Amino acid sequence: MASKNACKVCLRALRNRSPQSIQSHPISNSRLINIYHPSTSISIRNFSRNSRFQAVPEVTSTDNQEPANPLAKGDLLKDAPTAISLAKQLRKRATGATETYVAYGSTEALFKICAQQADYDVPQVKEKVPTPISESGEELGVGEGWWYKDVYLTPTFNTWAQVTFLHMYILTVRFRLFPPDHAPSWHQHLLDHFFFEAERRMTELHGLVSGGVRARYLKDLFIQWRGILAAYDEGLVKGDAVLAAAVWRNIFKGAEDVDAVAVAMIVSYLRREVSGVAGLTDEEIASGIVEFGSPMGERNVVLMESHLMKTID
Amino acid sequence: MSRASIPKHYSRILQSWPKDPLRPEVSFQKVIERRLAAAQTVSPESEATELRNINALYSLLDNRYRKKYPAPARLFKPTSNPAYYDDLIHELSQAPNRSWLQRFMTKLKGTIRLS
Repeated sequence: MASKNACKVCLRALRNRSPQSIQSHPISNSRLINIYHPSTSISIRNFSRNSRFQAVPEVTSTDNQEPANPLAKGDLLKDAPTAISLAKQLRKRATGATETYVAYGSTEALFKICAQQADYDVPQVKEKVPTPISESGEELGVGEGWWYKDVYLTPTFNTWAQVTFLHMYILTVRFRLFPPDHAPSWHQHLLDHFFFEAERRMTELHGLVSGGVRARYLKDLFIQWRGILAAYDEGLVKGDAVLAAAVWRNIFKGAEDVDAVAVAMIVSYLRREVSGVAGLTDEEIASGIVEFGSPMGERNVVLMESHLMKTID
Repeated sequence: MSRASIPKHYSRILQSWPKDPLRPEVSFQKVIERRLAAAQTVSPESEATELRNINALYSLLDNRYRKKYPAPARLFKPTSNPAYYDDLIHELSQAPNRSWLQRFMTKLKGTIRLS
């Protein structure tokens, strides 16, 4: 860090350190400097974390010869600058009003996780050559991951949208369990992030310069999203066969030569993730860190022989 | 021997697969019917694939995944709107039986929100 203007906190730490404390905990000291370095962009989102995230106390004043206890609960904001402590006060006193800002930031992180599941790129855009078009008339991209390599879905905008919808749906089911005042902003912000990203992709990857054309596609996408909510909710309540039909209509576009094993894997994956997020607390979801696994883990469950196979005459 | 049972499996699946009155033009039954027709001439290589597909369809009919990953009961009575899923299922059962006028009035009522 050879910066001309070193920050006050770092200078203080370097000035006050004693050789013993540095040698005994080299790792924790470097982590301390990372935690206490005040960033210029302050995120209110940080205050939705609860004190589960444990801090190392007694950072900078190291006249204390005792080694720091890494498991002690500390106050992350003890030496924080005025702006951060003001933000914390605001969050405490006006939870309702600030909820929407917390929701916006958290859903942005959550949406990024949803969007990268079936991410694809169109390299022809940079090379300024025409993009290849699939048989159904959609522009083809290049994508990695289970959805493209194992299930052989075509890397198009529509596939990306549908797989992203699937993951957004899993989060939506969980958001419904938030308090009635706060849940609508979480739903709305997640959807807004999707539309921002969809429009960005249309502009940058597919060269849709006309705003009117993009608006028409976005309206279609909104109708698809409402349909997805109804269809997957119906499947969640009524059973696996109904859910499989919904997945088949949306992700596989109702193709007649669909691979039933892939559909079953996606159904199993959806149910697994729904019960997974249902087990997380509100704070954990609000922190914006949710990990989806891969549907590949469901393959053995799907291939297990059903008792109905044997009872045929 | 299992090759002869493939059409029988497909007929059984066709009988048990739930019907969807809400989406009459896009039905999964068509996929099964097409498979049933194609099953008369199935090659040895695709036999294993067909049996795997049949097994997957049976597992879906059996609700294997709902049993394996049960969702907690509070998921179906969400805090923000406890009647959500009940209302949805009721609405989906009513929707196919509405006349044109009823659909129009429902749409009209939906554009106005009194709150």
